[in-house]
Amino acid sequence: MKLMDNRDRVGSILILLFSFFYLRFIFEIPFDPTAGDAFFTPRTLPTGLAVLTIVCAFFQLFLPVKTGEELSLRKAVEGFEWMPMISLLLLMLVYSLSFNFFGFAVATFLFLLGGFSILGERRLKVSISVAGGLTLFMWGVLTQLFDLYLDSGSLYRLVLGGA
Amino acid sequence: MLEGILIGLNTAFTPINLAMVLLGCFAGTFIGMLPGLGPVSAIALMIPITYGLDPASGMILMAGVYYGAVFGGSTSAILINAPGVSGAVATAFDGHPMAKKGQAGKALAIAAYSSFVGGTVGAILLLGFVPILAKLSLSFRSADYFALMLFGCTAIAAFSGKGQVLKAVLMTLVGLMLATVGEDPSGIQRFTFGMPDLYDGISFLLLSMATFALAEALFVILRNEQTVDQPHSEGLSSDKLGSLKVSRDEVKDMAPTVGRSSLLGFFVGILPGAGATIASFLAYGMERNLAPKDKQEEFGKGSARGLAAPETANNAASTGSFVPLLTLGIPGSATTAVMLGALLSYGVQPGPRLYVDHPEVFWSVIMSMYVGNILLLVLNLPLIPYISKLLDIPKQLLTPIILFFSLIGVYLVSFNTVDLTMMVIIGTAALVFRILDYPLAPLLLGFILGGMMEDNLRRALIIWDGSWEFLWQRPITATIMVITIVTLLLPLMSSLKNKRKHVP
Repeated sequence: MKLMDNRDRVGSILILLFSFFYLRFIFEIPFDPTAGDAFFTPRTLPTGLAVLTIVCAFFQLFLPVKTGEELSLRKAVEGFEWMPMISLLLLMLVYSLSFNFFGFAVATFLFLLGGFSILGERRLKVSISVAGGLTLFMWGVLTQLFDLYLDSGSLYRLVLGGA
Repeated sequence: MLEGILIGLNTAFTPINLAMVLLGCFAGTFIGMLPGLGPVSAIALMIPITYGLDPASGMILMAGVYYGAVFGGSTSAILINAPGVSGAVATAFDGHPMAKKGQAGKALAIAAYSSFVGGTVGAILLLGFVPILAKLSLSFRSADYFALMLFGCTAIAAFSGKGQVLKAVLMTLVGLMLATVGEDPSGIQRFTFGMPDLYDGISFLLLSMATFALAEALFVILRNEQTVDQPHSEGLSSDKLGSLKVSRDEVKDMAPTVGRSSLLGFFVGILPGAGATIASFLAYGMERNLAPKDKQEEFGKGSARGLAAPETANNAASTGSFVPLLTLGIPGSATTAVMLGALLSYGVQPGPRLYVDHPEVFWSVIMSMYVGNILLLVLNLPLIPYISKLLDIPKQLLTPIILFFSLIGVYLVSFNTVDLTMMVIIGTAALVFRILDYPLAPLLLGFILGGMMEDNLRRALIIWDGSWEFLWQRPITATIMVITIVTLLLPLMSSLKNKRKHVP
């Protein structure tokens, strides 16, 4: 599948798909009922952009291409370490979804601990001290110095019955 | 102009703003040293901190971070051959070989002095050019602004380098599309999918952190440049810096190089999309060609000229990139694009009116550059041995910390965890495009300029009663449109010609 091995073309396919998705939802944009026969509506610019992007993406897709190793997707990803990267992405997703439940302090501590472990830090003492220290430092700076409110989390409220 | 300089000096020399320059230079140097974070990420990380400050102080802090980061990127380029910023890649060509010869201290000193001269010359030239452009810009109307925004979008695509023009155009268009998410100027919801979190659109800080800080840090992990057992790739321990002294003969030898590279860097930096990276490579190439034969052979092996040229040029270009930002409201680089977004969030409209409406912001940024350059030299040079110890932090600890700061920076703007989830999704998409070698700076630029483009286009069409004739009937608009078309078509045609040549 030479098409899928060319980085430029894979990118243009992705942008093309995004543009079609974008174009589909242009029709969901309501018209301003007070605008009457306005020449420039909320749909005008999005439609122009979608059409232009589709045209440019097709150009990129169907123009004659340079072939060579520098454009090969397979060559580009050779030697990549996927597992740590995917694990970190999932960890960040879990962090964002669990932030309200665990609260800033617990969620951040667990995130840092998890991140260190994923990237290969095996010294538990070091991980706990750095994660704990940084979490405490940031909590102190944000809440005490900048007087910002950081949610303590639903878990805290569940366990301790706080507000 | 004299009045403006006095306003600028008055504002820049207040205790709080001097503290901002100091903090900015120091923070920027540290962040710029970390591979995976550059001036864009450094400034984006600062923005939540600046919300409590007035616009002049916020801009002074960010400007300090910018040239601090450019300087900091050179430190890791010289010490461990891992440029912290793309503008420092050319610095590593001669900086690291010099360090390996046991002259790391001298290399760092040359980098510091060259950066100082480049930045100072850039600031002097900025002072001269800015009033001229500012006067011209007062005659701008909505149609002209629209054409200017369009030029800004195409210029960065045009300067994206060989074979990248169409890709840069595509990414600019994606950025423009992302800018339409949320409420349009008439109050109609677009692409919000019924989610109240999207009513205000996507925050530019979220987009810039996701595309530059997050995606870059994850890309470094993917490539696994360092393992757990090897805290440094090649390079030397930060203990072996040696003397920081540069002899009088060496200064005399480098002086013409530094002079030429300052001018080249500044004028390249003015061009939207060009920036510090291109300036540093051009300066390196120019100096290698101009050097006498015996000196030419030293390039790539630890030549002082080879180090001084890119270092001078990248700092001068960083200053030059403020010209289009301050006078026309067009960011000259991805970094100034983030600053543009920051100015908008302060309620300050950058562009031709900035000179008139907010002279204290305008002039204090320029004057603070003089202060910043002096501080960078005086403070950072003695601190380099200590700052460079931070490079000893193992990657398995440093990377999650960088990711955490990126996430929390975005959270502190809106206190909404949906933004964190969006950041992860956008960061993943940005990483995919990074792997596919699609440039991300045009995406950010398109996003920043998109809203202003639509506003001005709408207004221009209202003024001209729905007619598009303003594109060729107004002289300023027509001139900018012609320049835009030429700027876009020339590299595109050259790129298409190259592609046809290589068809098997």
